[in-house]
Amino acid sequence: MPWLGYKFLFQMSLKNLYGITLVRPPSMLAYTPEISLYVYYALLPLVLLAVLLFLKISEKLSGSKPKRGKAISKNSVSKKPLIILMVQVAGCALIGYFLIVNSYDPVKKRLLLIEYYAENEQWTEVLKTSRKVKEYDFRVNFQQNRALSHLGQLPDSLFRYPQLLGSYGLFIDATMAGSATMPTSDLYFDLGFMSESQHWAFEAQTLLPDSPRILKRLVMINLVNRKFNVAEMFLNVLNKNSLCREWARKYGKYVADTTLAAADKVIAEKRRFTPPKAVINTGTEECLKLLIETNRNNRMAYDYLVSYYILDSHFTKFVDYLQYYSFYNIKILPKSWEEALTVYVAKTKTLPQYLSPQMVSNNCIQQFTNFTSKIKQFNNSLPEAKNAVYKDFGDTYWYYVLYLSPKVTNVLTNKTRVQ
Amino acid sequence: MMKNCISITLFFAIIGLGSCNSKIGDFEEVQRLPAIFPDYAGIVIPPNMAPLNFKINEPGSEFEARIFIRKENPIIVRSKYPVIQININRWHAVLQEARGSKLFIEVYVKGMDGNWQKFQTISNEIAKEAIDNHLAYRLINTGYVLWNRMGIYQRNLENFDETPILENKSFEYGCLNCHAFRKNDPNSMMIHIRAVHGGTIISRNGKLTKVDTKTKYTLSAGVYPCWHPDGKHIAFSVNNIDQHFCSGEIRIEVTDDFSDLVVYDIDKNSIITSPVVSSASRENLPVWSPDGKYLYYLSAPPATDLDNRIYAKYDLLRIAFDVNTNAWGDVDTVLSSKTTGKSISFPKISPDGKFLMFCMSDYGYFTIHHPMTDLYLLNLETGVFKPMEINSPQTDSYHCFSSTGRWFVFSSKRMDGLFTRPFFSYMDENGKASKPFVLPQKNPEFYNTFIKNYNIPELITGAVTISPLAIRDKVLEDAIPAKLDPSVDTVYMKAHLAKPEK
Repeated sequence: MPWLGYKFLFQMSLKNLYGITLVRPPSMLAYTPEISLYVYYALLPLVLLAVLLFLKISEKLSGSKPKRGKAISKNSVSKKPLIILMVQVAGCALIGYFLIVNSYDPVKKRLLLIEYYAENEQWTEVLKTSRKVKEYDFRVNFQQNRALSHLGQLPDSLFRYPQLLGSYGLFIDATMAGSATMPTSDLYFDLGFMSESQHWAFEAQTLLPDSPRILKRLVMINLVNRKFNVAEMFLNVLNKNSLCREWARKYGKYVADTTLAAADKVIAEKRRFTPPKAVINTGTEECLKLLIETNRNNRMAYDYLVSYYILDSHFTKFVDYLQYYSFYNIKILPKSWEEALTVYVAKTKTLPQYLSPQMVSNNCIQQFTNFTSKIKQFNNSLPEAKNAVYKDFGDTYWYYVLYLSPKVTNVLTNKTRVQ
Repeated sequence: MMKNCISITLFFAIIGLGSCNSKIGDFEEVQRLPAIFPDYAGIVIPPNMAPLNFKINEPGSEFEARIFIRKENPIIVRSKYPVIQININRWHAVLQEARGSKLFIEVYVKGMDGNWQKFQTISNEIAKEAIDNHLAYRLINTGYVLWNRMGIYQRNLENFDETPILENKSFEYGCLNCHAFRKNDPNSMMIHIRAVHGGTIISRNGKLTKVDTKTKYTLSAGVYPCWHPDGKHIAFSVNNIDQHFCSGEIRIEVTDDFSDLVVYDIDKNSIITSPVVSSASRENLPVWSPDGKYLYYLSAPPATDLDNRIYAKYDLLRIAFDVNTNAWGDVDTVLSSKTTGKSISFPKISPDGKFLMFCMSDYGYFTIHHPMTDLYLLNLETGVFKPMEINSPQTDSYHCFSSTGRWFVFSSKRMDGLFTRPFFSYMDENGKASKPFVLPQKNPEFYNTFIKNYNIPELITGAVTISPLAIRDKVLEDAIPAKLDPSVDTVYMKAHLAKPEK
């Protein structure tokens, strides 16, 4: 049948027709069919086969063959021995159990949960769920950084998660993976960079054209950009979905009365933050610099830029941008910043002029001394010192720069699997 | 039982007829045109166009539209809803009768107070000349890098039928683009396939071939195509294309690092080029003159850095080329960006050879993402160019003449600033274009929720009859590699392709 369909009816490839239920979904669904799915597909024919077999065996055992065209009476079915029914029920239960156990993937479930919480801005839940994912995952890394930033904890807690991809853990757009499109759009929206947020939302929309999540993002971006006609187009589509009608009605009012959009807290903030200047986007670093240049109150952009320099160990740029800390009323430098600064001071033997010694805590200086002493205990052999150092300093910049940074592990250049 | 059914049907039919025929008594005259969507007021309509269904954007509880040439015999559409859908048979009868004369639309709206209002009468013209009856286009989402489902479709302009020419689900979701026809002929067509099962599909009178136009001595496989009028040659640009994302009004720039021109000889399966059109400059978007003697094309200075790669202005040049001898002539500048102050793109010559329609933008050639892009008309006899009357504040870009040259279709984002829609306009012998109108749809609200783009609209004189299944089967075959014509200077091309360090 699929072959006949392929030959004469459908504009599909033969491979896709044979596996029609397995047609490649957009990769952002991160879905891979496994054996359990095939077992599930096989269930119906298997059950039918089992029933046929059972009837044949019953006939043989009873020795009487029902006459052709004569229906099997209800009584003959109800006379089925109880034990056989019980076996059938148990068989179904077993298969069900097998399917549930085999199809349950706690890691994937948690990844989806993290995505869901991030989409709904439940940042504490993102952090809680991230902690439960034991293996490194770049999506967890990315959403954790985003959650920390929203909670104002990114500079303090940057290294609580192993930043194995360096600055690529802050921005995952370089992967060009379908699953990265909407999270990337969300991050740029958070930062107030509307053009990039829209770019990634459109990439996502290409994969899932009618996804309400994507359409809602496009509505918000176009409200921020004052492109009310475009926002209205996407609202019209959302309005067709009864689950989104209320949301569409709310923002539809913004199109009818544009002063409502200006009064919306989120839209107003994004309008203040989004760069009005027309420039070619040459990379994430330049994006962040432009955002800060556009509006210095954009603390998220500032935290991301400083983290970007720390993760890539760009000390000069880090120190250049660190000097704006006072604008954000920071009294004592956050943990990751002061740790990076200690390395800078150790390397250059100078403290930037704009900093007073009090800005770096005594605790940090003491910890750094302890860290270097610990390495010395192992005759400066980094591999030997690794476990001992990890125990006390696993969540520090110092540990990162010696053991986890992509510059050390070469995961990006060698494309090796992140361990 | 049967009798009852007939009675009920008759009853409703009588009620229906009664309501259709019930005359509007007194009405108040409103001294302005009614707001209708799409805007079909003051336009020139092809005599074979599908009904121009529209929505009345006026508040009311009942709506009526009367479409007529003479008042005594109108098509009347009455509805509780503001959507006016016109009977296709009656519409075509009226258009045929009205060829070369005026078509009027009267709009009546019953207000919430129960009183009728009549708006000023919309007056349109019906042209004598028919438009080519099919439009081919690609439907794509707004994504720039990723893609999923896409297809090239054809729409019968005399009704609302849309059928696929080829959809990418038939070949593992590869990318398909740049469909082109020889002189609006559906029997001479080419389509590029990229990424999966890549190659160029060429269809000539029902015969399909798949070729790989990349050779060792040319920059890439053929990109932007134009069929020679003889149907045996296709000129292509070969390009190193890249995309740059931007902040501000322009979301993306599509630019070339390098680009040259080649001519593909279909019968010989060979690629021809010359140092003149494969120079250090960026030659692009070739188009044949209707007599097939000249190749018009764009040219920009070499890209030495990102800035001049993006912000370069393209000139319009032409070169003579003899398809029988493969002899190249000298290059002439037809229109310089220094003269226009802007960058020229997408030249297209009217079938009579009199006019050259082109886009102009502040810079670059990929105009569809530039809101400032407008259409211009160059009179090839006088050398005078002018902006066209049809331009809007939004992007007005890619265009295609009908086989008669009296109609053209172009891409415009005027409706919302984002989505590309095909608009039609009539052009008289002096190059004056009529007010454009959008491709009509059965449901006039179609464009309010249609979030795909019409890409590369091409008018064709009939339907592409070769089946999508036959094209798919050809796509799934291996492409035949094109050969390099022996006349090509391989020593030069080798040196030319050794790109300079930037």
